[in-house]
Amino acid sequence: MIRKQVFNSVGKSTPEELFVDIGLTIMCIDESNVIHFTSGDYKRYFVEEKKLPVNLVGTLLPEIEIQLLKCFEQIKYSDASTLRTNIYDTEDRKCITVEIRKTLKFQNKKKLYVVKLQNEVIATSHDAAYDKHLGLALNDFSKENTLNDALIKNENSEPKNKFKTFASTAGVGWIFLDLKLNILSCASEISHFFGVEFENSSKMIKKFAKAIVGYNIVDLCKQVLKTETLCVVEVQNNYGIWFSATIQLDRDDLGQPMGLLVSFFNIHEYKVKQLDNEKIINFFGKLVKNSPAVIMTYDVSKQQFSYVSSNIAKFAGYKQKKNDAFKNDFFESIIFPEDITLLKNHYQNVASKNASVPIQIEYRIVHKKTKEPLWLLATSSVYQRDKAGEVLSIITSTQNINETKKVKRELAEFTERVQAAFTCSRSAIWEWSNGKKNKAWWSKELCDLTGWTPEEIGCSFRQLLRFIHTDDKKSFISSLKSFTQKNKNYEQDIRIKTKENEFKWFKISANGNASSDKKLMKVVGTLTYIHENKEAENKLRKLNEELERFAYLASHDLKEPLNTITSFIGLFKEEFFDALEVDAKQYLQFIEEATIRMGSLIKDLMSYSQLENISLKRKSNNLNVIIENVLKDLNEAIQSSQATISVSELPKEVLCDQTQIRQLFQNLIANSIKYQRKNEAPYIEIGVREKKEYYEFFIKDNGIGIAKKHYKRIFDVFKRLHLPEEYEGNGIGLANCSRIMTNHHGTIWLTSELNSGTTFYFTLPK
Amino acid sequence: MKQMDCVLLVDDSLTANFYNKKILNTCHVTKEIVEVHNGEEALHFLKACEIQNKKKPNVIFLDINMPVMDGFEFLEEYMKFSDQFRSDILISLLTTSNWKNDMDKAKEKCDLIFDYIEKPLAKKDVEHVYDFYTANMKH
Repeated sequence: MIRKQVFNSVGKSTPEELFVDIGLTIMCIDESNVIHFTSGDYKRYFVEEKKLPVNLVGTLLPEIEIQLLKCFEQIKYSDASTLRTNIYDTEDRKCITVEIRKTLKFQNKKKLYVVKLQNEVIATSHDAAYDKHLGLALNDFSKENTLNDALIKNENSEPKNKFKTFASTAGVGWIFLDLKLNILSCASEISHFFGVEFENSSKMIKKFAKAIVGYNIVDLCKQVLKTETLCVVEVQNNYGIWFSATIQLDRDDLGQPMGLLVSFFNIHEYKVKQLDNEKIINFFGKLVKNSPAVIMTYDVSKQQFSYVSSNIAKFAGYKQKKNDAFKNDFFESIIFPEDITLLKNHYQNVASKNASVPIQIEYRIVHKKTKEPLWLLATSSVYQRDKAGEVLSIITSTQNINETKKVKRELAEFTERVQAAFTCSRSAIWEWSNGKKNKAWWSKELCDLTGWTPEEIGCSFRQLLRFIHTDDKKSFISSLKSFTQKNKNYEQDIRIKTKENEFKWFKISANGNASSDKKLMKVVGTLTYIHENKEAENKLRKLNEELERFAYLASHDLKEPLNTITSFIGLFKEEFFDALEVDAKQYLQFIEEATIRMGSLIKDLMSYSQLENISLKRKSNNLNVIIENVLKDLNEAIQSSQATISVSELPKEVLCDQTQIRQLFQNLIANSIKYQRKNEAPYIEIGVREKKEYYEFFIKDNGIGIAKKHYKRIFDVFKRLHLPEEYEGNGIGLANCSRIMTNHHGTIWLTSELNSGTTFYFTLPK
Repeated sequence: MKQMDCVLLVDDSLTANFYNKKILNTCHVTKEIVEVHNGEEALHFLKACEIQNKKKPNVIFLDINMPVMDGFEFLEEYMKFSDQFRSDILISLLTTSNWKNDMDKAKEKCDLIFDYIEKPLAKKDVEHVYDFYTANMKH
């Protein structure tokens, strides 16, 4: 019985395995049926698989043995050097091609034969012929007849499969060498294989070695002689044809080495296919491994994935497994539950549409650790169909689009926020992509704000000019021009005509692009609707002006009668004081004091109302000079209080309004002198600290100090902390200081400790 | 003590003029005191002096806030008189106003103005202008 063998060439890499694959067996037998060498698929013919057979008789499967021995007898007594015939395996209904060659080699004076057995399948259509031949082979002892008939049969028989063609054309050649590597005999195929003429000389082996590429055959032979082990290698001839070379030790009857058998088998077709296959597998493997895409195939009938490449695991935070593919249930387990149906529908969709155009779908898988869904994009198309054209499987390339999706979502959110911000702030964006050209772009908010359609607004500054108020046009053009030239930040309030034919205030602003290439300058800015603010601002300014005017007039008009009172109190006292009774003198004293107090109140009120921002005259001032003048003015108070004032060097050039800063110093120094503890002479220190963008001045005294809770309130107008009997004052001085600082974009604050002193700080920008 | 010939008081307030006259009289610095009630009247008076060759005032105490023509408007017109005519007249602004703008305006006209006095007029203010007049003005 012949053991069944399944052809399966994929995954087999050695020629020995290949021999088995294609059912090829090679044996070397001498006249006495002793087997000297066997290779390939011999096991199928022998009763005992494990033992290496030594003799044809008694070790082969009986029916094979009978037929094979018959063939052997035939060639032994024939003049022909080669015999080709078929023998048959009745059980498996198989035909085995036999080729026996006489060799020139003898061992123990016995001639050696090489037997090549090719196992093949016979299709059922040949059954009749098969039975006939089988009958002949088993029963007919007429040698000639069998031989001829077999030869004819061999020639006529058609190839049953590709392996048969392959095997029958695949040549086998051998060389016998003695221990000194002299060639004893050589099959004719050898010279055909390697393009060398055989000659009976000791140099032949070296000449022959040159014709073999890949290995030095001489070295290999020596190695086999030394190690006494079989050597199988793949070599090429000078034309690039692949051969499998087997070098085996040849032993005499006593088991002593007596030479080598080198056999060659043409494996070119197989090898080329294998190499191509390897290339494809390599390429595909690399592609799959390196590509960020996950490749998967989906079996439509089973409704499950037949292959999922392993990098899907990486996406989901699992360890990438060694084997390239994942099982269907693993993959399905990591799909975001809500998306399973979605994905199945997708495959149904691809299958039913039956189109070759890929269909895409976005779905999610769940990350192992974070349990968060990750977005994937699947692109599927039909992979395999059956003969009827029905879709069998679908191939999908899947990409991780989680980051893209995240960025997209963030961008959408951001855009939405910006959009909302612009809408809320009633602003529009504009862009001027090329500073030299008139062309501009306005976002649609401008249309919402003005009521004009995008077409009406147009897309250039010139067109926008039509809507700008005549009074603002000139300054708009000139400031825009200087902006593009100087590349500084730009801001301007302009009036734009709306669809209702009303002019509304807008603030147009822009940021200069720092690009050095002016040609490519891109200006992006905003246009904000500020009409109400602007109107309120104007109203406020008018109100402020009115208020100041009112305060001035009120105080002026109050002062006028007060002056009269003061004047005549003076005259009255001068002319009639002596004649007055004591009580009358006292009353007059009260009237006079009240008048003086009212006068000073009115004066302060006026001074406060006059500290407006508009009349500010900012010039470069030497603060040392200002301080000098202040101290001169305060000379009387300094003398009477016995104050010590220490002034360090102050900046010589500060941009400020001289009058106001003078008033500031005067108020602060006067306060320091005024608010002094009893029986203590004031010690006042004036100095400055230079900061990066401003000067920080300080005026430090050793006075009564101010409680922390009053730090802010003391800057309020008419805020007094003391009774007039204790310390004089109207509570206007520090309010004025605070206003002066506001006018100068500075700040004023203090640190203090009760009963030990106060330090006032204020800043002036450089 | 040598007295000035004439002092011109320009003020719409009768009380103020009354008081100022009182002060001037106590100081005994002038023979004559003329009282007008706004810039226009002052201008007319000066023009009359110029045309009729009457005695000019040596000192003018000028209020700022007045109806018809205020102090500054008067100064504008006063500038139109010849330098020679103006050369021996001293003008002191005598006003309740200590508004910054008024002060600044006054400073702009400092070549025309001798002094800036806040009401009420005090004896020392009178003495100040009198001393300067007697020391510097030709007679």
